[in-house]
Order: sequence, then C-alpha cells, then structure tokens
Amino acid sequence: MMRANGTAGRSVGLQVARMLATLFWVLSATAATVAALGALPGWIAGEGAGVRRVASLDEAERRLGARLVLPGYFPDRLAWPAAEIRVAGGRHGSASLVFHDRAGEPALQLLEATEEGASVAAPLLAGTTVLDTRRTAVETRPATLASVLVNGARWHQLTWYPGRRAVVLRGRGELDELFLIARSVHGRGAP
Amino acid sequence: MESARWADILAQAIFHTLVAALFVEALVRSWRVNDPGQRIALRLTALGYPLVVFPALVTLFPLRAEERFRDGLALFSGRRWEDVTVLGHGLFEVFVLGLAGLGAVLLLMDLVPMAWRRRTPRPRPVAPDPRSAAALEAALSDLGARTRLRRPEVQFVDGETPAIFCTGVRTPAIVVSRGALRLLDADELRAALAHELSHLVRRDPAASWGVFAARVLLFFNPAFQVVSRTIARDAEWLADERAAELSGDRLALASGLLKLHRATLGRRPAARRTLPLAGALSEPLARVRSRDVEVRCRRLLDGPAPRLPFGAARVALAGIAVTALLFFVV
Repeated sequence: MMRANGTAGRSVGLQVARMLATLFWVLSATAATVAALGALPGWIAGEGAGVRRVASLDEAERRLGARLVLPGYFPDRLAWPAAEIRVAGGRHGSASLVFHDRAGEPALQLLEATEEGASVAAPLLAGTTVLDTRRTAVETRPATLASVLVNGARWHQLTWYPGRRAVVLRGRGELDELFLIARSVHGRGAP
Repeated sequence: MESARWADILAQAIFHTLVAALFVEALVRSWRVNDPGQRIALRLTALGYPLVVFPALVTLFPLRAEERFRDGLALFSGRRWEDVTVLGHGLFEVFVLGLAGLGAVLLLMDLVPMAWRRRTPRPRPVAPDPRSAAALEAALSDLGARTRLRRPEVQFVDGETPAIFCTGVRTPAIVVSRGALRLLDADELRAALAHELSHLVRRDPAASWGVFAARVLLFFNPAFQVVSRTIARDAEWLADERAAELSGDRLALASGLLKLHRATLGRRPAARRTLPLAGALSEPLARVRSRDVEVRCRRLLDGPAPRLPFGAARVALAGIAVTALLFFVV
C-alpha cells in the first residue's frame, strides 16, 4: 500500500514537473519572440541598445528633460532641421543630431550630453575610429580636435565642454567652418 | 495626442490577443491537450483576455503608457515600428490598419452569409407524418432519460434536404427535416439527435450568440475572430464526445455525420440556422468543411481523448503567464 502510494505520488510529481517545464519553455519561447520583434526596428536602423530615434527636437528635449544646445551659425549649404535625431541614456542622457547637406548627404553631426560633467552616451559614439587627436581651444575653452572614421567616412571631430556639458561636433567641410559653428553653440532657456 | 493614444490602445489590443492566442495554441499542442472540453477552457483564456484582462491592464496600470516604461522595461513597444518605413509609411500604421482590416474581413465572412440567409423565410414547422413521428419518438425517448435536460421541442421541416440542428435561446428546439429521417437509419438518427441534445445541455446556442456579439464588438481584432471560430469547432467536437457517451455508439454518429455531409454538399440548407458560429463557420469554404468532417469522424473512431490531469490549474497557469508576459508589451 505504501509502495503504491509512493509510486502514485512520484507519478503525480512527474506530471506536475512536465506540465510546469512545458509551460516554462513555451513562455520563454514566446517572450523571446516578442522581445526579438521589439528589438527588430533598432536592428534594422542599425541602432544599439538604448538608442531611440525621435521625430523632432521637441520630443528629444522632452525625453531628455533638458534643452539642447544648438549652433547660432548655420551654413547655407546645410539643411535645417536635423535629418536624424537620436537619444540615448534615458532622462538626462545624450542626443545626436545629424544635419544633411543640400545633396542629402550627412555633413554635420552634433552630439551632446545633457547632464553636467557627463560624457556623451557611448551608444551614440559607437562605430567611431579615432585616427589622430590634437589639443586646441574653442574660444577660451580647452578642446580636442580629432580625425575620425565613422562608417568608413572621414570626419573632423571637435570635443569640448561649453557650460560644463560635453559637446562633440563633427563636420566634413572646412575646419574653419567647423570652428565657426562650434563658437556659435549656445544653450537655450529651460524647457 | 488623444488619437495617438487610442491608436496605441487599438494596436495593443490586437497584438496582445495575437500573442495570447499563439501562446495558448502552443500550450495546447505542447501539452497535447486532445479533450475538446479542456481545449475550449484553454482557448477561452485567449478569448477572455481582450475582453477582461486587457481593459484592466490599461485602466489599472497607466504607467505602461509612459515613455520611461516603453523605453526601459517594455519587451516590445509597437511605436518603435514607426521608425521602420515602407513606401514612406511607418510599419506601425501599416500593421494596425492591415490587421484591423483583416479582422473586419474575417467577421464579414461569417456575418454576410448569415445576414443573407435571414432574408429567406424559414419554412414553417409542420406536424410529422406518423412514420416520422414514430422514428423521432423512438430516438428521443431513450436519450431523454439519460440527460438532465427537459425534452426540447422538435420542429419537423417538410423538406428533402437533410438537416438536423438545434436552435433557440429562450425556447431550445431541434429542427429535423424529412430528408434527414429518410437518410439516416435508427442508430444514426439517435446519435445525431444526441449530438444536438449535447449542444442544448451546454446551452451552446446562447453561448454562440454571446461570442458572436463579442466578435462584432472586437471586429478589428483578427486573432479574436480566429480563436472564436476555433472554439466553435471545439464545441462541435465536444458535442460529438457527449453524443457518443449518450448514445453509446460512436460508429453510428460518425456514419451519420458523413451521410449528412455528403448529402448536403453543394446544396442550399434546408432551413435557416440561427447558430451564428458553427452554422456559418465554413459554408463558404466547402473544402474546409469536408476536412472538418473527416477529422471529426476520425476522432470518433479513435475513441475518447484522455483528459489531462490538473485541467483547472493548467488554465489558471496559462492565464497568469500570458498576463504577466503581456504586461511588458505596449
């Protein structure tokens, strides 16, 4: 009798275990599929994890909870507004604005952190290879001028801290023009 | 902003039901649930989800609509598909409109034929001739003693097209045509009547109207439309099983089913059916109907499907699991 009860108990235990194991793997497979579908737009757009593309400057500032700094000097050869705006790092994170020239090619990129003392979020700088750097200055503020490769294209890159916020400015035109744009970068009122 | 919020809710309702339906279907197959009653119970989890759980999620957890949740915790955010464009349109809109359109089409595939048939007046029931009355009495008297159900009204239709079906919500009845009585032998008639009685015991006519009303309410939801049709099929299988128990003759039921199917292929129905689901389920699709009959006959001949243990626990676990998963889908 006791052996029969033990066997029956083991059988029930096995049935429960099988039921739960099946539920677990079906749930896991479903969750993985749903997560993959959720991540697919980012993969298609070539974005890393945590990078979000937004439709406008207003939306970017709303997501970041901070105003973005923008250049006051903007060459005619470049199109306004930004063709692509991306944010990363959540609230008080970073933003990337890509401006195209009149031919539709990326010509100017402005990346900035919104939190004082923080660097620009790494996912926005992904895919950058630094070729060489040298010290320089934007007005009186120390800056770094570099030649970088981004997606196989060569850019000038200027990094400095106007008002204690990290800003990275990339351009494919003349260096003088890049410095002119950098010197005109200023903050705006609070949102 | 308000219209965007409603678009998000619509998209979530569609996607949630789709995921719930596929999840439950995967469980039915993985657990090898063959008993039609247990299949219905599990599939009702998917059907009940958009009606009960989803509205509760949206109402009780408004934080799910916040950007912080979408960007940080959500497994899937439908709005991200706006970034993927095809011919200048974000795929989010394409998916939502496409799926909503599909849902409407699936509903119309059943609604239009049903509405069209309602234009045809139903043949008036007539008193059966003595021979038909005797055959019906012989079949019903035995069955009536085995069910708890008060003997339903039997409406005799004087038509050559074979037909046996149940009808009525407040006053359940079984409709039998002269053609059916001529086609089926005594055992087959008894088994077919047992099938219809099984529908009435479970109040399937009332339930089918309720499900159809829900289908109309959720016309935009294609997964809801498909799961409703699947449950209608399971309800037929369940009625087959109950009828086999009631009549004690699985072979006679299979034989009767086959005879009725063959005799009615390509013909207009003898009488307008009011069961909105099963009756309209596959009439536009003759091949699907034939396949369905083949599967039903095979199930009858294979014998009763075993019930899995812990049926209620399985349903509860499936409901909890899918709700927990879909909390993180916005």
